[in-house]
Amino acid sequence: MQPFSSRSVATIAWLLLASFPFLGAAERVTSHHLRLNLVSEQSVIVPGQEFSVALHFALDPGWHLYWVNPGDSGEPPRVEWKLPAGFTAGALEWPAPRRINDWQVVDYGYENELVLLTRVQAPPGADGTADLQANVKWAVCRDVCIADRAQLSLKLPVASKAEAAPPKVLFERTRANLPRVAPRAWKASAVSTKDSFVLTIRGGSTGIPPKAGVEPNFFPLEKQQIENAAPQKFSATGNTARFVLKKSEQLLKPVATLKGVVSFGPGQSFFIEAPVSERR
Amino acid sequence: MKRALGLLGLLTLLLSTCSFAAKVGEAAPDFTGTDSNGQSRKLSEYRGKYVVLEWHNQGCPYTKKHYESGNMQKLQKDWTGKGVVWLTVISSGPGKQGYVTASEENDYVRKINASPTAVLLDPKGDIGRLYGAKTTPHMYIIDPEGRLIYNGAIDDRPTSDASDIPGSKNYVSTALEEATSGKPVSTPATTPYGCTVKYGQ
Repeated sequence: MQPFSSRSVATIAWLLLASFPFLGAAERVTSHHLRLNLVSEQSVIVPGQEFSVALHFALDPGWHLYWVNPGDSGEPPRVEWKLPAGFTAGALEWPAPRRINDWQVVDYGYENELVLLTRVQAPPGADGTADLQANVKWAVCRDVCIADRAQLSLKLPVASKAEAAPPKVLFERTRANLPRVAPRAWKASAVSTKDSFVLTIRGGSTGIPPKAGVEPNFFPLEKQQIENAAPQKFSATGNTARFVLKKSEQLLKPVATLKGVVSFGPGQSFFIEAPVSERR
Repeated sequence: MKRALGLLGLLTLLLSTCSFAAKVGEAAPDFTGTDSNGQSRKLSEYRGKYVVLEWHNQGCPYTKKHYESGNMQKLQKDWTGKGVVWLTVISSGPGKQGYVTASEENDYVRKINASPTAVLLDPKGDIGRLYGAKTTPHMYIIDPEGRLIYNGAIDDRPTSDASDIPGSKNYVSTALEEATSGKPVSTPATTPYGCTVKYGQ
C-alpha cells in the first residue's frame, strides 16, 4: 500500500485532466439532434463511498426522448456500464415524463433535456484513476425517429475527501423533479368499470398538491393497462384527487394493481400503487 | 384559416378516437386497397385463409431492424409458403417518412428481397385508421373465418437493435403456429412498438 504515491498519481492525472475543457470530468458527444454529456457530481472518487453520475441529454427543439414506459411508440434510453473492478452502478432514476402527442398516439417522454442520474458505489480499495464507461443507446424522435448510440468515458481520480464538481446544480435541479415515494398518509385505490379505471388518491392528513397550472396526469409503469392516447379526466374535491383512465384496448386480463407516477406539476410527482377492485 | 384547420383536426381526432380499432376475437374490419401493382385487394376475398397485416415504413429504424436482419423476409417466406396471405400496408401520407410511389415500392421489395403477397398503398391512411395501426411495425392476424386473432408487436423485444432478434419471442409466428394447429392463441394482444405511423392530414 503506497498511499502517497497513488495520491500523487491521482493529482497528476487530475491536473492533466483539468487542463481540458469541461474540467475533464465529462465526455461529451454530439450526435443527431442532441448532445450527450456524462458528468459526475463529485470531481473525485472517495473509496467506499457512493456518488452520482448523470447522463445529460440536451435536445434540439422539437425532438424528444422516452420515459421508461415510452407509451405508444419509441423506446427508453438504455445504458450499459463498464466500470473498474469493484464498482457497481444502480438503476437509472427517471424524472417524471410528460405526454407527447402525435396524431392518435401519446408517448411519455422528454423534450429539451433529459438528465438520467445513477448512483455508483466505489469499492473500499479504489485507488488511482477510475474510468467509468457508459455504452448508451437511445431513440430520438420528432416526426421521424433515429436510433442512435454512443460510448462515453469519464475518468475520475480517487481521493480521500469528496469534492463537489461544478455540475452539482444540475444534480440538485434534477433531483427536485424526480418522482418521490408518496406520502404515508395517502391512500391510492382504483375501481375497474367497463371501459375505465377510476383512480382515487385520498390525501389524508398530508393532503394532495394544489394544481400548479398544468393538468395532473397519471403515467403507467406497466404497458397495456390504459389507453395512452385517451384524455385523462382529472378532478379534485377537497382532499381527494381522481383520474378516469380509459382501459387499454389491448387489455386481456384483469389488472390487480395500477402502478405508476402521478404528476401534479413540476417537483410534485409521486410513485403510487393502487389496488384495483371490480365495480359491484 | 388556422382556426378552421384546428377545428377540422379536432373533429378528425374525435372521429378517430370514437372509431373502433380492430379488436381481438371480433370480426376484422373489411377493406379494399390498391397494391403496388395497381391491383385492387379486398380483405374478405381471402376468407378461408390466414391473413397477416404488417404496417410498414422503410425509413423507420424499427422496420429496418427487421428487414436489414432479414427477419421479416424470412417470416414472409415461411408463412406465405404455408398458404398464409401476407399484406404489407404503407399508411404514410404524401411527404411523410415511408411514403412511396408504386414503382419505388416495387424497387424496394425487389432490392430487399421481400416476399409479401402484396403491398397495399394506403397514403390516405384509411386502412391504418380502420385498424388503429399505431406503429411500424404493427402486426395483425386474421383467421380463415375473418376474425382478428392477433393485434400487436412483432416480438417481445421493443428495441431497434437487430442483435435482440435471436433471443426474442416472435408473437406472429407463435400465434400462427398455435392457430394453424387448432390451439387458441396464447398471446392474442400485445403493445406494438416502433415509430408512429406517419399518417398524412
